[in-house]
Amino acid sequence: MEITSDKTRDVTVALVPVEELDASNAAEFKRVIAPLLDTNTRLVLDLSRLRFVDSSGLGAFISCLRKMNAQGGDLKLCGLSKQVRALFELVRMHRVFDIYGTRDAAVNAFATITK
Amino acid sequence: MATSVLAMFCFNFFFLAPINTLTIADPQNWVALTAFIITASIAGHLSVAIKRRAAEAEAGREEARQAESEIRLLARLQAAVAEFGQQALQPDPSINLPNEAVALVAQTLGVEYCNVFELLPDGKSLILRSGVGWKEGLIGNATADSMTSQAGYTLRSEVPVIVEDMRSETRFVPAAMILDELSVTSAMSVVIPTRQAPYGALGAHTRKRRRFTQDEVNFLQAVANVLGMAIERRRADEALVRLNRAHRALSRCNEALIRATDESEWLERVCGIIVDEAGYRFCWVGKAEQVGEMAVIPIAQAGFDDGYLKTANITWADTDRGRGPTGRCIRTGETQLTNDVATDLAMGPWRSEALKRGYASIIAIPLRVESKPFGALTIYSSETEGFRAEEAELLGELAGDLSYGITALRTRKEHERAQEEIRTLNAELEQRVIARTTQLQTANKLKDEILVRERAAAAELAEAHEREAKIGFKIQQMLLLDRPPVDVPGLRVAALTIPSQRVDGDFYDFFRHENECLDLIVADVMGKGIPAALLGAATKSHFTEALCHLMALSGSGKLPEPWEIVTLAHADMVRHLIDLESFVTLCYARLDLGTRRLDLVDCGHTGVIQLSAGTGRCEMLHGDNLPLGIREGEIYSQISIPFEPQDVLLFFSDGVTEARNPAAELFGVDRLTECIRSNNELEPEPLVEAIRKAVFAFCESDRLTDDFTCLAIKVVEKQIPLAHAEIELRGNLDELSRAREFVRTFCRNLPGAPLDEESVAGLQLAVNEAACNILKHAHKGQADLPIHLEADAFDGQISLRLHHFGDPFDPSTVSPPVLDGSRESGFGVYLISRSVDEVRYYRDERGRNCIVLVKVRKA
Repeated sequence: MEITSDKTRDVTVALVPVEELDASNAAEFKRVIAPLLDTNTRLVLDLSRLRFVDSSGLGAFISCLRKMNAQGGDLKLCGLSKQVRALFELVRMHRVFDIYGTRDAAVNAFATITK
Repeated sequence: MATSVLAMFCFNFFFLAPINTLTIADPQNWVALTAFIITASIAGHLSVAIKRRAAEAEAGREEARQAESEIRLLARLQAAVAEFGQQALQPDPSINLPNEAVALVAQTLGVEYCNVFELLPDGKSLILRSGVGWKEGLIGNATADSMTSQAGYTLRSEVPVIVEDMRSETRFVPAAMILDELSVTSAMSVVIPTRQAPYGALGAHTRKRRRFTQDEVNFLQAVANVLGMAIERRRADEALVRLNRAHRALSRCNEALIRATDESEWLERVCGIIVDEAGYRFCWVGKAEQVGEMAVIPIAQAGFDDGYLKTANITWADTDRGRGPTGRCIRTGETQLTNDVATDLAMGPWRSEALKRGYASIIAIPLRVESKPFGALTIYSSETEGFRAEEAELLGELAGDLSYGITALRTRKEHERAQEEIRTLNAELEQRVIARTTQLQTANKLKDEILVRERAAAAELAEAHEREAKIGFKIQQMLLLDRPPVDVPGLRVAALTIPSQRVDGDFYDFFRHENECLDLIVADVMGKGIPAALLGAATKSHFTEALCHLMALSGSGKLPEPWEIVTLAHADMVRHLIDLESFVTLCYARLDLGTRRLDLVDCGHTGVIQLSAGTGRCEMLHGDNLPLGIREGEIYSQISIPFEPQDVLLFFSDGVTEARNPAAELFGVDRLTECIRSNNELEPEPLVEAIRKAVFAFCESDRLTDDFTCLAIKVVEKQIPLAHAEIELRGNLDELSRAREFVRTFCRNLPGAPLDEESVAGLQLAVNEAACNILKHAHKGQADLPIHLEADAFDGQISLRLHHFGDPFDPSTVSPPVLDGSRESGFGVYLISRSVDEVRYYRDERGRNCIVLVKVRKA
């Protein structure tokens, strides 16, 4: 798994490269995203490619968020499909994560936060 | 006046006619006579006045002369007093103030004799301390009686005593010497005052008669006052010095005590200190013997002795050798003073020796050790009255310290000796203690071992009891009480058992046959506890065996009849049951869904209640066989009853019908039937629950005395799936996507309408999570155990079943998910339950664990 990312202003946007994030590849995802978490304080995860997320995938995202927060940074999500969004709502994670429709919305959301 | 009158008569006689007579012829002569008298008296008065005035003037001059000399005298007196005062203030101890005083008085007043008498301590006599004009040898020796003498009288008198004529003196008795030898005529004396008491008297005597002036008296008194003050001062200084010395001696004695180890060595040192520091002449410490002569043995001494003690032979018996100060103080326990060795009568035996060595006064202080007379500290001073009150007190203190010191040293010695003894004893004791301890330890160890063993045994016993109980329950749960089959098409089965506190022998069992037949056994072993449970388990296995045996025998594949099975099983068991004096009531039922008949072998069991859907009536189905274990060779018969769809069959134990309420009434069959009837709409599970509630409500308790077993079977329309698919998943996580694919495909290709996307997503997720759980938990340690996935589509629902071996998944052990973002796992079960409409966990007839996920089809 390889994660591509680019930086807009001081915000890094990383694309989740897989279509399905489940118990079989969630651990790998966590490993691969870790460097980005360490080196960024403002990160957006683009989930537009994801068709399916299960509880393990969900757990991986939560793990990313917690890591970012612990380091004083913040994580936002964008590009959730209907199904993925439904999953997040099912476990009320839509209240825990900042979820945006588009990349730009997420990136801009960082700009409006005064730290 | 008289002269005048005489002169008048003479004039009358000689000069007035008739001359030489006294008669007066001529009245003119009366005038002359009167004039003469007047003149004469005036003249007389005048001359008298003049004379008087002249005398007065002379007297005045005389007075002035006298006053002047008096003033001069006064000035001289005052100067003398001032000078004496200055002298007196000097601290020079060499100045003998009384001597100076008398010299001054004699000189200033110009008297022949002057003296200072000092009042002796006894108050009975005064001694001549200083004097001018006195014979040699009198000074310091001559005494005057305080009652009779002038000095004595002076002391008693408030005012200065002035004597004009000694000889005619009546107030006191002048000493003979005064009158005769010294020929004293006049004298005056005053008191020499000191604060406490008069020191004595200061007197001045003259040979010639003399009247002392007030100034002179005042002078004498002034000198006496100054003298008194100075003497007092001196005394105080001396006393202070003495006290200081005594204090120092005391401190040093105390210091010495702290460092002392040996009694006699220390006492020697103390004596030395007393003599050196305090400046006494000689001192010694004597120990009082308690027996014999009661001698006082010297044990320490210091100072000038010169063999005094050797000859002294002091005792403290009440004999003359024991009546000296030392002896007395030991006898009386009080400090004794001998103020003047020379005069003290008690000093008889020692006086000359003492005086030879210059012992003028003695103080003897008793030493008491442990409230018993120990001896005495005797100190000799070279001065008479060498021990003033404060000193005596300090010395008393010193003696007290000595006593204490002796005690302390003794105690110390005792202490050391005791210590030594203790050490020895300790060593001994230690040995004994060690020996004893070892003994005790051995004994204790044994005791402990016994205790431990006992405790272990008790614990084991308790554990065994617990294990038994647990086993009992487990037997019941696992061996005896099976889970009813949940996926029998055409039947809905629900079973509820509530074990009573005691382990019981209730059991039921199911056998699912291929041809739409379901056998079930509901039984009750007589008795309680593990034996009953075990018997139940044995019975169960016998039935299984019998079934298998008969099935194996049956060549045509036909199922053996229930009565055959029961008869065979019974035959195997009856001997044991009789031996164990136990029996089993049992109901063997077979539901044939094809023929829609119930075949029943009822062996003394409670019966079966059939609720007919069509009529709504309940009927009790009974057989008439004996329970198992009553009669050998018993052959059992069966009855056959038809049933219809929606009929409910209820199997129960007597724990249901024989449940009692507080009034000891039984729940009974009627109530049970009523309960079924009133709940006839319910599915088996809620029905059974309703029965439970009813029974418990009836009993007004949450505990029943007997096991509660209730089995409800509802006959339903067989559901024929519209579509069916199966897939075998390998036992690793990569297969999850395959599972999801399977689900998606099945759901989207259903006959009729495909399942809506939301439902598909839900099923997909649920299957995914369930499979994940199985792979993660159920198959732990065993890699690659497969999961069998089956999908069935019905009219109203889609059901997906996951079958697997390994540990069954128990959703009740999963805690609720934490949805605040603080946890990264634990969502699986929650997701399953929220993604599908029904979730069931059970074990199928092949022993596989099953998870059924049902999604209701939306219309």
